[in-house]
Amino acid sequence: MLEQRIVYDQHLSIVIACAFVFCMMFLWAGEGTMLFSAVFFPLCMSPNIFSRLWLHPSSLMASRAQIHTSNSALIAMIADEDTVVGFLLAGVGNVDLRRKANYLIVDSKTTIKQIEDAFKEFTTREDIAVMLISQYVANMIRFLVDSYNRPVPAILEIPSKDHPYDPTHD
Amino acid sequence: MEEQDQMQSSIEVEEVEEQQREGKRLEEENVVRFLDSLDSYVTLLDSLSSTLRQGWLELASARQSMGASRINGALLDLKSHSAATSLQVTHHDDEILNQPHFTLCKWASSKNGYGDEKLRENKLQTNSDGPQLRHRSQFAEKIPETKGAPLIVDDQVQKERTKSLSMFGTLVSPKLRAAQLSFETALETLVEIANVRLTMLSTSDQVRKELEGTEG
Repeated sequence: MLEQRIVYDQHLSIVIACAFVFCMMFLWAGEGTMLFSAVFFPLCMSPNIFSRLWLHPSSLMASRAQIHTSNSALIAMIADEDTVVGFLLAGVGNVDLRRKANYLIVDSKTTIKQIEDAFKEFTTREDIAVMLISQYVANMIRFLVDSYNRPVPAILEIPSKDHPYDPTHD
Repeated sequence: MEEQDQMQSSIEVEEVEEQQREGKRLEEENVVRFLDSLDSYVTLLDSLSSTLRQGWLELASARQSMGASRINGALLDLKSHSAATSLQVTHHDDEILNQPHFTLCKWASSKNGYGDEKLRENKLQTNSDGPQLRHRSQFAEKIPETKGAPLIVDDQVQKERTKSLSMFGTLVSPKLRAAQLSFETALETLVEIANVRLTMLSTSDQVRKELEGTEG
């Protein structure tokens, strides 16, 4: 909340400064400036653009590295069909408005690139707290899994139906 | 004068010895905490394997009775919907282990504020049904004795479960319902594993630092 407040205050000060500059330019230059400000001023109102421009990159990186407390974080899955179906029966399935699901079913036709992309997506999403991945799938992208060292989302390797769990890989 | 100097030096020696004892005690505490968490991790993994195996068997039985075309990935709901089971991430209050803590909210609905009731029910179920973990250290959490307290299954939970099953049809095999319960149990175990794993990794880091400090 404090971070949001700081962003809002900074954004507001930018908006006021821009409004002052545009008013001065309008008084000085006339119609051309009016057209320019009509296009540019709404962009100033957009928090997405100016808050990201204004925030120092280090604070952005810090907010990314911080562990956010969350009341309803998701469980992501990269596993075989039976495992995913089973956990979906337990109610963990989530599909957002962009039709992006929090799971990937791995079968014989799934490529390693698809698994890598899903892993990268799930580990960068802020609404995911835990990611379940079948151990045999994790072995396919072992370098990616081993290089991951953040506490959240937590990566848990689980056994699969057709491949027994090997503790030496954990 | 000499006596005073001797007394002062002996006090200083005692203080240094006390600090060394305290440091050693802290090191041992970390080692015990690490061993506890490792033991819990291995026990929970074993429990998870058997629960998942049971779930897969029940799913296979349901597929056999209902037909393979009625239970497969193609029937999964790809319309926009939110997860009925989610996680609550909070920060641990322990000053030594500053790490997140996961809590499972099963069949929680934010609209009717039902989540808290399910949380309490989950804790009861975890304590009564979960594997018995050995705790060597005095720092382990005290788990309240439940002695098989009966679970109160709410209508809302049943509705959510039925809704989840409905993607495979209105009439489903009892084996599919059993598989659903098995995977719910597996979820609880997984959340415990996630918490224990975080503790294990942080204590192992501390132990490693202490060992490097001792060698250096």
